[in-house]
Amino acid sequence: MDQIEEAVRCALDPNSTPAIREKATEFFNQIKDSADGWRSCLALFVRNPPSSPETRLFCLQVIENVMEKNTENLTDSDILSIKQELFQYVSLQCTSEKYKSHPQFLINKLSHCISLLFLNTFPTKWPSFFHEILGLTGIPYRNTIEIPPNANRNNLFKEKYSTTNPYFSDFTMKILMSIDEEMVNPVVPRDKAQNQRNTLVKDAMREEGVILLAQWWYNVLLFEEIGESLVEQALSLISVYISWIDIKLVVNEKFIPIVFSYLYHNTLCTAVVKCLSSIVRKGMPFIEKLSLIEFLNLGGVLSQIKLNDIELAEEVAKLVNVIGIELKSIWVEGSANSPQESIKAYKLLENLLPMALGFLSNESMSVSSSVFTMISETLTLLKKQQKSGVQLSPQQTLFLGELLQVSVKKLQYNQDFELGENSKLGCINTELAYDDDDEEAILLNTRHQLRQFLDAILSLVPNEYESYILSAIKETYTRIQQYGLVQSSEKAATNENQVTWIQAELAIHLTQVYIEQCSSRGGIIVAKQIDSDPNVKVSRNAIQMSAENKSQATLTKVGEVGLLMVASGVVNSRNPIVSYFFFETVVRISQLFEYRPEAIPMVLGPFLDTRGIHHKHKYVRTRIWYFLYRFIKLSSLDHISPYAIEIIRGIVPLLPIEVSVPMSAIQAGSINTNGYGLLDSQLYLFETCGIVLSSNKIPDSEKMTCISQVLEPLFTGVQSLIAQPISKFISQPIALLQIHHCLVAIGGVAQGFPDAKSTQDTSNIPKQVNPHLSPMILDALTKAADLSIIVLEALNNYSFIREAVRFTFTRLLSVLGQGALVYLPRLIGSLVSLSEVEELSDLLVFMGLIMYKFKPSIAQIVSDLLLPVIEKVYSVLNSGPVGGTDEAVLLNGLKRAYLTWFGVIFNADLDSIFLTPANSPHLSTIFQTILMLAVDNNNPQNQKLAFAFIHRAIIGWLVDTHAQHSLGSASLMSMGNPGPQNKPQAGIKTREGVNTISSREPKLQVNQTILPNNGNKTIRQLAADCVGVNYDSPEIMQIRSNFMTFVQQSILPICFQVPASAQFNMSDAQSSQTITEICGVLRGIGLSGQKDAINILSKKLRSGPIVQISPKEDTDIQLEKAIPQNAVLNYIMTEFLPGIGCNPNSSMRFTKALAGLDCRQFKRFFQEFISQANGTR
Amino acid sequence: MADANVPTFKLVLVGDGGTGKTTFVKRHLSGEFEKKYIATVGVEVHPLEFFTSGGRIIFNTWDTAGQEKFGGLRDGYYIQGQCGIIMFDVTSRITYKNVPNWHRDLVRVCENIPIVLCGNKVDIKERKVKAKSITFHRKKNLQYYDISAKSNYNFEKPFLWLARKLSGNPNLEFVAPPALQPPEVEIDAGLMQQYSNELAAAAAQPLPEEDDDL
Repeated sequence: MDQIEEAVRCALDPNSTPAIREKATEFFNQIKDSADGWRSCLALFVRNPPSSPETRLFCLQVIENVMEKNTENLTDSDILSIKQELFQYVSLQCTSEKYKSHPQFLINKLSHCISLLFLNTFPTKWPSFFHEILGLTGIPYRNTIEIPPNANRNNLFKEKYSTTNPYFSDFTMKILMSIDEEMVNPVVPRDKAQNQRNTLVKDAMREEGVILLAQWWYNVLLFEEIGESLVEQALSLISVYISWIDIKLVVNEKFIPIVFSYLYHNTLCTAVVKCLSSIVRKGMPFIEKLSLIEFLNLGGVLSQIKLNDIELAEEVAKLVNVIGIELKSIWVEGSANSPQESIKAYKLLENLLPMALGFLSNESMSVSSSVFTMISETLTLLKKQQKSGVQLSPQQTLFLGELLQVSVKKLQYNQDFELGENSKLGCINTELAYDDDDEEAILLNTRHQLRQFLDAILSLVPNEYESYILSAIKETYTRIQQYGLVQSSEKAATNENQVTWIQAELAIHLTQVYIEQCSSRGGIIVAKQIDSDPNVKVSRNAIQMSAENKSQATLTKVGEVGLLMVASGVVNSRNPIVSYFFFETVVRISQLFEYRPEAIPMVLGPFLDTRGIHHKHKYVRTRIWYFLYRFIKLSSLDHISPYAIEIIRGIVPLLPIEVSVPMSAIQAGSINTNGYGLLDSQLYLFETCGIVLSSNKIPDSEKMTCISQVLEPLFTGVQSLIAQPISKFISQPIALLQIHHCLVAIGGVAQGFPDAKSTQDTSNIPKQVNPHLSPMILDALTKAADLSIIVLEALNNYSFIREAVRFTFTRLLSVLGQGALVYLPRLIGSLVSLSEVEELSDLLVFMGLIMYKFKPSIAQIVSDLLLPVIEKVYSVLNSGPVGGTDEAVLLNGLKRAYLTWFGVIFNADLDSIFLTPANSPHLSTIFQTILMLAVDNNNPQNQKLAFAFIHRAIIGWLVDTHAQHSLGSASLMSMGNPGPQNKPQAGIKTREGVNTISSREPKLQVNQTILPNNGNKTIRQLAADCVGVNYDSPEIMQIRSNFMTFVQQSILPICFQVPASAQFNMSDAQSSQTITEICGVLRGIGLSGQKDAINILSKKLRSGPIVQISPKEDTDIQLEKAIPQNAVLNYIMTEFLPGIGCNPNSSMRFTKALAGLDCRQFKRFFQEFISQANGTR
Repeated sequence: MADANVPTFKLVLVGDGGTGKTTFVKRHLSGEFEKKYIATVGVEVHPLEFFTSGGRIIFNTWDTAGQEKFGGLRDGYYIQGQCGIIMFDVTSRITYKNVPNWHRDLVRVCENIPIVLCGNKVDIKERKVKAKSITFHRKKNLQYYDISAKSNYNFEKPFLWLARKLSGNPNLEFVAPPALQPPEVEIDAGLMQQYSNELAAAAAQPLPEEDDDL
């Protein structure tokens, strides 16, 4: 025992050495693990004189531990002795002043211990629990105290409450609260066994315990003088117990008035309101719920409460909210078969609405947001009602009008709001949680909510809505035009008609809302076609419309509002929030400028000066860079060209490269999350320059000047640094970052130019050519490519330099097309040799894109690369157990990239690289890595990719042995997919503006189609030629035969093992895709033994049965004849399936299904087959 | 650090094993990201110092073991805690599911202390506990922050909120670069200057001849 005390002291002593603390920890574990450690702890806990509070806490911890986790080690007498000792302790220690000498944490821990004891002993071993506990409180609990009409209240109370023990009453409240936490509280996770035990305990408590509790609570509440603390705790207990006890114990003519009486109490009213919310929330049939709400008649009661503090107001708002939600459910349930109830519920709800609107308009967000749900439920109700054909009543229309006004007002920013330098505006990132403490985030969240109200009102009363919103917007813009803006918050408006930034911002926000609401379907429409049916609207894809027609087209309301905004001068506001949203809106309505090009200067001017890209607010400024980029990108180059020089001139001062990230951040690997600071935003400007410079309407001399202003500093930046000896980089690593930044910036400029297009020459090999590049640009880009390669070769030791080159080259390849091909061997060689795990995934994606673009031209390079990459991936995948979530995520990403890369090799028709003399000997090793991922049930996504790869390999090498079909979309499971010669599915998205470089890596644009096979060679065949694979050579035949053996021995078994495994979840959507691929593998295997296999690959038959069945004869007979002729099917039926334990009957059934069903039917069959097999096990 | 005049608060840091408690604390001390996971045994106490608009403040941070087998005194370490941080890992659902247990254990020993709930590792793309499903703090009136110990995202937020609550001053701000700029790295600011000077010098040098092919 002394040892325990000593160990606790050591563990808490800040001066203990780590070794001593570790020893103490070990000792604690020993006590907990030993069978009777709890005995010494129990003895130590109740010892007199008491040990230190810390020691006693530890003792209780050990006792709790044994009651929570090791109850099976306790005999009945053990439990009874714990009960005996502890109860004796509390009867002595918690019934007098001594109670107060205990530290609060011991009291809490002790009450928790008692609650655990209760759960382990009630009702069998400790049936008298409630009598014993409540008895010690001295407050009557066997019945409620009745006050006879003529009794003297004071005397009566004096008598009835004379035995009250305030100490133990308080302790009892704590025990009861702890019992709720252990047994009922829904936020606490529990396992099945605990839930079962709790149900038994609750059932037993319902017999008598809770009735005693309710009487005890009543008696506590009846006597206000008993003390606020006890009353408050009783109310809290009712709030939590009400969810599972008979509601009549509390909600009755006698009890409720007592509860209500505390509504007017200064400090207890909040607790009462919370308690009432719980009562109203309790689950019950809707008719009973309606009577409950009627009985409580809270509408009347609540309106009388004085809401002078925010906390109370919030609680009352929450109660109103709960009642509203309940009434709406009653309305819904009643409208089916109890219209009476439905009407009543609606009436009650309508009575609550004025109060709800009052709360909604409350200045405090916490109060206002408390009624959001009931308001949106009410709107849902109105929409349902309208949908069923019932028109809105005048009161309802009136309510909607009021709600609209309150909502619009609530959309406003707060007068004192100031945007921090680093605040992010405008985007609630759904992935990241918003910060409750952040005013901006709260407003955004509120706007999101209110927007739903506005949308609902729009759908209910469209005309009223539109006229209100439009007039609100127009009124503000017109006022700005006439009177201008108030420019600073301190200076009072010189004219009260002047518009404050808050009003200006609201007008822009409403403009955005209106635009979005008008464009929820089919994009933003800013203009109607002239001289035609006014109902035919012209959307942005109607480019055919001539420029002249466009300029004469009539604007829609959206177009008008947008133009009004642009012309109003609202952009002159100096408030950064207004600037931000103005330009954001300009980007959204960029189409307007196609119709009204004369308005372009109205936005370009502000864009290029201190209202725009030179704004003084740091964050807003860089965001406007992005908006400018979007604006230029979305506009027609012809309209922009006249301003090209001005744009470049405006941007150039912002282009100098500054390294703003410390080297340590890069070494710590936090770049992926944080980016490169300013550079990330500058990239938008660089790209904008590229777009503008690609215009052919700029005079050559001016273009030359612009190119040199934009690109020369970058070239010089690299050249000047790369020239120095390598050793210098070690002493000044920032130079490396400078080079990195310059390269990335060059890539950014290149990104602005259009892509090379695919053409074909006489050799039938597709070529990438870019007709849009002027010689001047071509020169510059070639220089950029040369420079990147030189940098890479000099500095490829540095991963971020490799990353920069990858980034830049991805883009240069797209623009230069075939012209960049000469760089590839050097590029890839340098990139792969030193690649680290982190970048392997990115590199594989990059390689995939190159392969897809250049196909046969790159076959040899990829072929040479195959083994080094696989070796690298293999070593990483086998490097032992995973350390933490970070590592696991990284590894999963790599696995996915690896499998995807293999997929891309097939997509790019380069599968022959696996069959070359250099690579084919390693085929089984390669497939081992694939099998490893295929059997990993923890990762269904990779599992699916692995089987998909096997599926296609079988088609490519065992069925379509002479590469007549592209493998890009080859599948024996494709239901209605296009045939093999059609456009490949380009799994490559077009680029979008994303902030960090790694995710913003430019993507190659895939725009070529696979060329028709007009008697010429297919691309697969061409690729095979390039790497020297001859499909008829004995070597290849040998490889094929080895692969066939491998398939039968290693792949076939896992097709059954994987789905039959217990961890495989058949009902999961992702797993269903895996099953599809497995079925494809099986069908491929079956097909490989079929004589006419290649015919099946033709478009029409590939989803049909393997064996062609004539409808004229009996199917079974045909199959029985066909199977022996197919060596593989025969093997499956007679050897393989019996080998894994199938009886002859089911082997036959399976093989027939495989041979004779189409892909859809087979999948269904296979799923049933597996489930049956699992069922019989 | 044990300066008698500086307000010092005991901060209890709890949460499942592997959620990044130690890494989080060490960001303050070393400014470097710990890549390797080593389970904490029992508790480790770190005095974390911040500079606020109201002067210096120290959080004596008790970084407790998340793993049960290394728990030692467990809630015994919470005694006299004045504020708390409960941490979970947004890439692991179970760690969020266990938050109520940690909370219960904590408030049992330390009633009415300000507590911040932190979802760590938000930098990882495969987020499993979405922002929308993080509701526990609303039920219990805690403050919640997404954080990323790896990228320092929101590092100071939990401390600032606690400092405001403890000081009773809702407008308290951290002045001076706190925490993440420990002495060694402060020198880095000087280094940065040196870097750019060197850069300017390098850029001013004439280009060598052999660069003709550029």
